[in-house]
Amino acid sequence: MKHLALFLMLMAGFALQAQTDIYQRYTDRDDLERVACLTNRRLDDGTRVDITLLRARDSVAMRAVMDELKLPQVKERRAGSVVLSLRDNTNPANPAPTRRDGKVNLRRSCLVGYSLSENTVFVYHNVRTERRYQSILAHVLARAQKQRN
Amino acid sequence: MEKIDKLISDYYSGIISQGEMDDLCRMFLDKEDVRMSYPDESRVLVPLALARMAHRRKRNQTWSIAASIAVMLMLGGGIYAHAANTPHTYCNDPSFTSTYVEQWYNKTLETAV
Repeated sequence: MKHLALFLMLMAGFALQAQTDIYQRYTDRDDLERVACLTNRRLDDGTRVDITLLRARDSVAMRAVMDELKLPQVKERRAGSVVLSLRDNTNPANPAPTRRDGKVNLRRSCLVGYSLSENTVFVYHNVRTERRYQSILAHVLARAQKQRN
Repeated sequence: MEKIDKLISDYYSGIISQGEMDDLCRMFLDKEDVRMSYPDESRVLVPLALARMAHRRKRNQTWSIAASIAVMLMLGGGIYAHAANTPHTYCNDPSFTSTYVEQWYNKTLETAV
């Protein structure tokens, strides 16, 4: 009985240790005010994703984080426009890996975006499939659209 | 005694079933008078009965352990699947609860570049 309880606690603990790699990598950084991740966040009926949020201390630190992650920087901001970038799932600083046919390998990609006013970079992990990719895009664009209206 | 005679006869002729063998062994183990009446058979059947008992106990124990492991795996798998599919929020700022993280995320998306 004691072994059963220990085993069940171990399994539950193992399952709950679900922080994303990026969260663990950036969690102790001084230039970041806050790091968080949301695991298994529901976007629509069939899509659940892990999301990591990195908030820089100020705009200078934000610029540095964007440079570090090699995120495309926009010169002009248009209301409701969203810049999202497909990156390597294990390290968002690297571009998204490609398959032999030259297409992006979604299986090993994550989707990265940012908000300059919030000094926040957000990462959608494990894009994996085209359907999930479209769901994430639709989710982000719906939010941006809501703000534009 | 007719029954035990028949069982011993079957045992010697090699046509005894497993159930009958169990009965025979049990009689030799449980009853002193049977052991006294059949001393030659007793020398063979009592050790055999003890060996069969030990074997059965071991087999039952093996099944019991296997069943326990199976139950543990099923329960553990269930808990793992449940925990792995339940939304969780982690933040390096302990004062920042999941509600605040959710609000932060929503605001970030609404002001995304």
